[in-house]
Amino acid sequence: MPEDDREIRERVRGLIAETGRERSQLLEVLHKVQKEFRHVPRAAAEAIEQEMLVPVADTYGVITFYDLLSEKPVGRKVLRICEDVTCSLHGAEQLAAEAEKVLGPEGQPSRGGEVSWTRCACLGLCDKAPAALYDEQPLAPLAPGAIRKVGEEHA
Amino acid sequence: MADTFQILIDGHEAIAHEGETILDVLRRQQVETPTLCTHEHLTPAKACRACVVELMGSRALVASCERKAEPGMDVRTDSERVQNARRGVFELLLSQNDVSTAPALAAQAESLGADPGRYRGQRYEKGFFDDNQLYVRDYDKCILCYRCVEACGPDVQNTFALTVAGRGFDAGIAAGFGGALPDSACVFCGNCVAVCPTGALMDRREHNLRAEGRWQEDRYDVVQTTCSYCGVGCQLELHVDRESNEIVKVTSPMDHSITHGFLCVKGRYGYSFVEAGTD
Amino acid sequence: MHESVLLRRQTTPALDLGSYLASGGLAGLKKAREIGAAETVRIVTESGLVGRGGAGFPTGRKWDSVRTASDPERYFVLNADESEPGTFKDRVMIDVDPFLVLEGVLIGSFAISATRAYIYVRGEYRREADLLQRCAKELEAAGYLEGLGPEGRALEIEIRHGGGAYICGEETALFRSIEGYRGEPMSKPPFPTVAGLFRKPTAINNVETVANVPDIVTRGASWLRSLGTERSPGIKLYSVSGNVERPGVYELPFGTPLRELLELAGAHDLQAILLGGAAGTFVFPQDFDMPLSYEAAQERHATLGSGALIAFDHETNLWRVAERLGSFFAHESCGQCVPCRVGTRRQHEMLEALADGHGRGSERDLLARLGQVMTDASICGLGQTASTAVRSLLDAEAKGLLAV
Repeated sequence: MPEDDREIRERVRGLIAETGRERSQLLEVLHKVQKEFRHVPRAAAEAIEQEMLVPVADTYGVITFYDLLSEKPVGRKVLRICEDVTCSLHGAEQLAAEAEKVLGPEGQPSRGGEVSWTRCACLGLCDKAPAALYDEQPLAPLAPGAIRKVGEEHA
Repeated sequence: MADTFQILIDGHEAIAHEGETILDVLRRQQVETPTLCTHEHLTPAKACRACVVELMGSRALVASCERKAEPGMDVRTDSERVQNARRGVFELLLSQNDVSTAPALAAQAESLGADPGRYRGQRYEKGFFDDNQLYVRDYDKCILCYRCVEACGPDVQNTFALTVAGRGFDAGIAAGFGGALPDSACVFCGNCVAVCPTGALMDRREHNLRAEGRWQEDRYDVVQTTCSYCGVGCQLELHVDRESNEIVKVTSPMDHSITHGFLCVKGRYGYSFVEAGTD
Repeated sequence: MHESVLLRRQTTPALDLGSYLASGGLAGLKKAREIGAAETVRIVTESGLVGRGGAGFPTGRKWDSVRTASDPERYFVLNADESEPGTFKDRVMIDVDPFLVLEGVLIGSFAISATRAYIYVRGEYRREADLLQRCAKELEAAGYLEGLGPEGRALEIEIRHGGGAYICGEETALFRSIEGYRGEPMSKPPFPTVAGLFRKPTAINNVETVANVPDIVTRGASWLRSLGTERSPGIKLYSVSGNVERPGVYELPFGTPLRELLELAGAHDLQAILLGGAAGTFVFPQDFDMPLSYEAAQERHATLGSGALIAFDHETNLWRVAERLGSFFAHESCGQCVPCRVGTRRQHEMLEALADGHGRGSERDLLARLGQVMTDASICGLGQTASTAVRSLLDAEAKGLLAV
């Protein structure tokens, strides 16, 4: 799976071409890069600098600002467990502990890079608390069994 | 002549010129106003909030460095609210930063009566970066005033090597893709160092001398000269140790019509040749 | 019993244009085209509709200043960056009636003659973003965007995906985010109606706000005013969660007693509720008879905010709840200004100590003092309200209202 920088730059140029070169498309481009490479590598920022005239440092500043973007690889599928008020009333902390037991340390991809998990801010799923997103889709209410299933899916 | 109008400052009438900020007026009126992030040649970052004033009719306090004066404004700088907010800003900074090389910050904190021990908690620990020959970065001293980012960017240098990265308490200044300066677009002009208000960015020679306990401001004369590298004519201030006859630092006056205090790598750091034939 | 308006399609959502039209959809847009932009804005102004995102600014006044701006380039922005803890009404609104939301966007864009409409959906609402995208395409394909833009051009709609940052719900931060930058709020003034997205006149509205618009245009300003109270006309969506039997979104006319909403949601024997989201206030049973209206909330130094209501039973340690709120604000502070960047961290540290029961005794005074600094000196609403709930809890504790 790891690509060399030239190939990354080439593929990012393609993503930019289909999205748009204006600075205001930066977040949209970064979402696509994140999805394709599971993070935004430096080579992608370099391609963005060449094609969109956004300085590498600016892209780095943007990536580190937004929770859904990352400069280090995350799992191909990410389990995001809400830890805010309503979900914590409904046992979010125990679920995070279960996730750590099943999937390993927070933020670190496991099972060959397939899965990682993280705590996150309110997902707007409080009516189904305790809530999580798994691979961008709601997984709520989240039960310990569902976390174990995520683990088995990529055993 | 630009239009002028009146505003009220602590109940007294004051003249303001079109386009001026409230801070401009306060300074002309000699109303002492603490500032940290604002800089005469940079876009107001309105980030530190040290210069906040009460603007009657406005719910929150406003940053006087950014807010333009408007006819009829009623500004209070001496209210309890303003004093509390300013003191709070300094107390919060003192709770996180090493201010040992920021005498101006420490002095302003003291004159506001800020209690350094008011708030306790995690210190700002962003690390010390020593990755090039010309200057060092001690981010434990950084107050995130944005000055370096602005000087590196469109306000002065157009190099865009620096950014604010991260969010909240974890936000910090980063170079390039978060790595070493030589791996970024940095051209080592040192203009970020020139505008840093806390000594978080420091020329190597000053840093080394301080580390050795040999930095002695009272021994340094300032010698004015013109940079000899090219035809622009930048004015240099050579800070010369009158005992050893060494140049310890090069700056340019902020009010100079050509440089506005900003130099290039040669003017600021290319001075070792002066000492080359002196022994 | 209030008959649903915004949620009238909740049992049978209209997820394609055909069923939306069949159930009376797009009548508002048709009417708006007939009466023209100026009259549309007048009706919305007259109706007394104010923003439902939390700030409560009159929608018609917003639209009128953009409509009459001298710059021909102007934008309509739908704020679907719903991220206030405890708030999910916009998600449900989009899920059950995406076309109603889009119809509101179309009418708003027409009313201000928008160069383009941006729909900014929080990144975590991927499903809702996809739904709005598909529905917008259907409207475009059926020709409903024709003639809505300036000089009779077709309106362009762009869906944008947030990056996962609560602060981008703040309107100026949201603009920065669309423009491709870190979502750091800018100072106001200038206000968005003067210099908003791309520094151009911009009308930015919340999802629930625009969902009100089609019915206002069709049924007239007096219809909205026939619901609710004199100073809070109309209806409000409430997101109810926590220790209740039936969490969910409830639609009620303004002025309905809080107790009625609690009964609908199946709340029994509560210690307190948090009303208005993370930036809201704790309300205790002695105030449960308060009417849910802007004026009644204000009288009690409370806020309806986004209409979020989180219920807590007697087992709940409210200092633990405050600690969670503190953690949220510390995580979501953009980091730009000192009072918020350092203050939210210090606040969270003190709340942790209180929740864990090993405070040093000085936390309560310091929290109140720090709260005042953040409220007064922060750049934007996040820092200015990050201590609101904490301070209301301090007050309640002083009055002996806490159970644990």
